[in-house]
Amino acid sequence: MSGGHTDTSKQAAILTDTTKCVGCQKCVKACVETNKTGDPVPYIRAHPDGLSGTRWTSVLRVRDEEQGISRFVRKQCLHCVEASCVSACLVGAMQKQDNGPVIYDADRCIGCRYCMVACPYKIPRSQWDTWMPFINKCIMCYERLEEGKPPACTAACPYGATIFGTREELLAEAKHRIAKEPDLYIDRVWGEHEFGGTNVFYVSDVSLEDLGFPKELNEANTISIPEKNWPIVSATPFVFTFVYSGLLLSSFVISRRMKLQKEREEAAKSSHFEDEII
Amino acid sequence: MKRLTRIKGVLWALAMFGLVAIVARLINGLGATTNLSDALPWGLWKVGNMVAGVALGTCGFAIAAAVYAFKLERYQKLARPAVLIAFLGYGSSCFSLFLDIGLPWRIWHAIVYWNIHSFLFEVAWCVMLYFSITLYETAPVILERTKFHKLAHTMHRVAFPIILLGISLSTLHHTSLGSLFLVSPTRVHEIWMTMLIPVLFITSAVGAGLLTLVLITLMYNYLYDKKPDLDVLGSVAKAGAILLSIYAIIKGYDIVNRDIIPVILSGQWEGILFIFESILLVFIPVGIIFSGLAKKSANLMAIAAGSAVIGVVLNRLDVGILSYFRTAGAVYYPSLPEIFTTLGIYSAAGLFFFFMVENFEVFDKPPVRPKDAGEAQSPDSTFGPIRSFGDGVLRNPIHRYSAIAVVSLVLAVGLFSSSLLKGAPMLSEKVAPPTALDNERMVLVINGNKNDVSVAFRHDMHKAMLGGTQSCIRCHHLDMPDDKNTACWKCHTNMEQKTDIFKHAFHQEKLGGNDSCVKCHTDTSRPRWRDNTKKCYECHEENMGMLFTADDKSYDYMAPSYVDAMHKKCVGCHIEMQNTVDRPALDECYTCHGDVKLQTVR
Repeated sequence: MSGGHTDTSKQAAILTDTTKCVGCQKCVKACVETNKTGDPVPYIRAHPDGLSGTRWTSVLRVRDEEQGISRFVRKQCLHCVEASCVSACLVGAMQKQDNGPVIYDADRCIGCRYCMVACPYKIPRSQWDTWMPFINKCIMCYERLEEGKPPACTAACPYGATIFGTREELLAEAKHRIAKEPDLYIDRVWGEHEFGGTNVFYVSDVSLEDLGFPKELNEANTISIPEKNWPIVSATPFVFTFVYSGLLLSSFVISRRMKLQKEREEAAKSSHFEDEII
Repeated sequence: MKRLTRIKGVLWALAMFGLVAIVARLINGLGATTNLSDALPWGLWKVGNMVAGVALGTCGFAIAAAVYAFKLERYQKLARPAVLIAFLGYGSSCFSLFLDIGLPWRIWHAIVYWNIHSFLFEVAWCVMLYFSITLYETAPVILERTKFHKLAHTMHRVAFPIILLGISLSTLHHTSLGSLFLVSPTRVHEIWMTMLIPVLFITSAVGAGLLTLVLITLMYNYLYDKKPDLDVLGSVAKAGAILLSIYAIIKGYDIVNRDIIPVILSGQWEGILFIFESILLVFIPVGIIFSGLAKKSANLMAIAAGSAVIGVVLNRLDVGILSYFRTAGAVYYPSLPEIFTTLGIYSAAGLFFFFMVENFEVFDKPPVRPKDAGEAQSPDSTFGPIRSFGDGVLRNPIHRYSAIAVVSLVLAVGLFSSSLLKGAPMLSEKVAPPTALDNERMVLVINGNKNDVSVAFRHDMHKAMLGGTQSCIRCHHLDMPDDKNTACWKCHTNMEQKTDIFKHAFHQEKLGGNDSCVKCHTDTSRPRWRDNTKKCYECHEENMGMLFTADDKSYDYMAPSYVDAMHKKCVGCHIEMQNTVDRPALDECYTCHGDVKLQTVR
């Protein structure tokens, strides 16, 4: 965040192509079975996008009113290159691994839900139905990655709508697809630059604002949130030193001047007194 | 003194309601007791109690700075009340934070695990340290009246660097409390979302915090029939008004700089809310105080201070909760337990305040006990309470407040019992009546999956298969409260299982009885197992050739699961055909299936 950027080109990444997804939810099933997320919770506070404490990925429909079409799109954690949740978590339960995934350490979590506030894509979910709520979100099957296997969702997709690879490869693949069929796709790799870039990309023929992507890229939303806030965070020790030393100095100066004034007054008084005697 | 008694009674009642809500929250968890959701995960406790409560407690460090750093001796007599208010503000904030986090027994993790990039980390440490400092500053007030009064003197002597530390920490965490909301720049409404938010937070907090001190001092003087020192209070109020003006200037600069005047005036409810908030927080207090009316009339000063206090709380609620509504596409309103917890915590803080000012030297030398307190100790005090019940008031304050507490406790348990004490309130869905009766096929048409798609449902068949008249409650649950009837998908979950659809007896009969074995079991030299027998598609080529190919061994004798059939076998064709047939959306499920809800079909 403060220092140099790590090399992201070899990091694990996922590319989802909305033109290929048929909405079969095999990825959801694979995710549930691999991560043992548990039974669906038909809960009053379930979010309409289908993600919940027990569903780390979901398939939802994105409608494009202009073109009059709609597409299925898989929603999951986007594993930002510089994740807002990672910088927000006060106990460091959200961690960015060097090989790409943003993982969650349940042993550290205190359940403050600041990651949920911080995520620009509104991904982390709390387990509202239990008295002991943890945060849950996609962790890109990081244990499978360590074994050399792709994430369960990409392995399960029968249509190759969501594929796994390195960030570099998939960016090239995404751009290749767009270049090949420029009439079909919107000329934008969703996730390439948004909030500093993500490790999950989308190519699509409909706008994906519903996933939380900004409508248009500009300077404000291509810079990552932690990087944007780092000047303010890093100012803390300086502000502290400034205020503390300022207070010390001012109290010293003021008390000294008060003392001097008192002495002067007393001197004046005594001299006045002497005058009277004379 | 009757008004004091009544206020204390109300505070006791609220505190007991809060206690029940707190116990329920600790037992049943956040989901059961709050209206928080995935869309809006922060609510009244975090924003209303923590962020706003801390803002009201700023008077402690502001007065400390004036008295100890800048040697303004005339405010010396306000130092103790200010520190007490800060202690209560921070204490209630810490306690509500403890309730608000999902895993409260892990609150010590904030000390052990560090993430220096986090604003919340900074807030947690500063609030924790500053709360300890207010504890340190408040402790001598109590200790000097006990046999540890020497310790109090020692504490007082070395307090100077600690007080300065407290002031510095406060500066940090009041800015950081604003910065907390910088992490979601796309979600906070643009009226409030600015990089200047740390500065705005500290100026408004200190300004309103000083006016909180003014308000509470005036209330104290009113309740205990004392004459307020309007001169000193006026100066404090003026300092608060100056800070609020600085806040207004910075906010004004921010509004002009980011060019959001059209947004404010566009008629969106956020704009109206912002104007309302600004009037309360800035215009009323600054107007009254700068016009000089406040120094003449305690009532006007109280109105100015009260307006600023409400304004700053509203501002925090706006930034932390209300400004998220539009982007979240959801609305949050606190549940009854949340409201009662908030009120209960503040009531307990108020009772502690009364206890302190009556027994220790906060404003004046004690005792400042109200006259009726403890004077009703008549000789027959055993029956006192009962006898005096006839007068409508229990005379002995201990009995009186105990009675109020117990009655409210019972009332609270009764009030909350249905929804709160049982656990998570599930969506209550009554069994929907059938939408139609299909006379031709003798079936009911019901909205079984609650997704507005009606299906034909053979009630008599389900009844027979599930066990006759005993089986009603398998689906209907007798409409109990907080209950929902079983949706279709709860039983029919095996949509992805393969099904053996081969009926041997049927084939045997059709093909000619016992003579027909060899028609399928062609290899007579081996046992008649399935793997040396004809495949389905070899005979049923016209029906199944499309689905089953020779190299696809997985579907021998098995019907594909619904999901596989649809997505591997059918949809491919649908996509192919959609360009030739006059049906543009042939590759969409909903073309055939209506409005399928994907989450529930699984």
